[in-house]
Amino acid sequence: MPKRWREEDEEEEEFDSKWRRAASHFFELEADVDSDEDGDSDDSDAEDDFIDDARVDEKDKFALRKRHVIHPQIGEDEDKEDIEEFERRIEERYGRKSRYEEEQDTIEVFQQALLPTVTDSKLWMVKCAIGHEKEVAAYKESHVREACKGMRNIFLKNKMVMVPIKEMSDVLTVKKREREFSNGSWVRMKRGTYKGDLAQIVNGDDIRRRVTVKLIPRIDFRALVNQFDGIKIPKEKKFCPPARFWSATKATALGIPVTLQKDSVTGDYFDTVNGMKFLKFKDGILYKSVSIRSIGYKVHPTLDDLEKDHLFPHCP
Amino acid sequence: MGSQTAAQIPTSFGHELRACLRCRLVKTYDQFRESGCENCPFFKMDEDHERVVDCTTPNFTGLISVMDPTRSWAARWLRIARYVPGCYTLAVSEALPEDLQNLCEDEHIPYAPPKRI
Repeated sequence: MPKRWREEDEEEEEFDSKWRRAASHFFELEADVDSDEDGDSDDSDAEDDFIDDARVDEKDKFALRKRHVIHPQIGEDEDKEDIEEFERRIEERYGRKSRYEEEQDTIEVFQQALLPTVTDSKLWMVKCAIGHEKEVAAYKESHVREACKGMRNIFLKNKMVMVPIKEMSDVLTVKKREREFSNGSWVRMKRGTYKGDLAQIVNGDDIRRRVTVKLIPRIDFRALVNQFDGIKIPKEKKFCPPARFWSATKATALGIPVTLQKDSVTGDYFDTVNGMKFLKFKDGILYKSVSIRSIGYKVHPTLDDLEKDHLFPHCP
Repeated sequence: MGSQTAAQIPTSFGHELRACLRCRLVKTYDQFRESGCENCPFFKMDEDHERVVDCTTPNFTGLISVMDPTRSWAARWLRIARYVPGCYTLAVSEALPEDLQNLCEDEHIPYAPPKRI
């Protein structure tokens, strides 16, 4: 259809009456839609069907519409109307915003309504190396074979199995594991030097099962100095240092090399000790990355605890 | 379909992967920092690097690659059918920070927080 139109635009005198009839039919159809838009130009909901057909992100079709539908209308309505202004309005209406409106529509659909039907693409189980499990979505087995060609860890010689429609949704449903520790919550340390100490979760990494916690440091300065001097202390001589806020001035005075480093992710500055990645301090407090297993139960700190930890900014 | 521009494909699949808290697109931290999120340009992650930390998370479950979201049942089921082709996660484990939720609201951009089951 649009192709014919382009010809007509350029060679207007040339078309015969037959052409004209066909064209006018097409024109009416488009004009209908247009007037509909004008009627409720503020009511974006009413345009949804139209947008859906038009598939705005397909730039080609969009461009055609601009040329063939909008253009004649400008001529009819208002000769002086600025085309750019018109295009800007159209862009606004059908451009980025309408995509978000489409998204909004998908959000509002109930999950039940999205269950697969016989006409949907199927899921195929493909035999894979352990740890590389995959399920491929396609209509036909041959498509899956084509898609998997050249991929490592897939054994195409084995038979493929289609996932029954009823089980398709299970494949893509995630068992929600409630995060045990949310940012800002208080915990007691379970292991190591800080066993029994109060700590606050800064952030967590569910995949690596690690959390960063804030602690009042227990730094054995003498051991640290010895380490830099190359002196090794026997294990039994180690003791649990008292909890004291970190002081860069004190550390430097003792000859411990302290540098200020910017965290690439958060942009915060930390005091670090050369060569000791696990020593990271901010505002006198130690930021320590620990395994989720080494933190204990959630606690509601007592006033006494908090008084001691008055430097923690996010007290509940 | 070919007319849609696809999102960047993650350059690695290690621990530097992050997922957008709104559209669940998965890329590396560096990719988000350099080019932002293809579905959510209004977050302007490429202009303000701290935004990357606020708008994305390393905590997500499952990964799915979508080549043709408009025709894929899986994409519809996961509600990513309106987004650009790319790698997505099945679920993120946290919600968008409140100030950014407000930003979405102001810009009339839909946001659906992750469902708790």
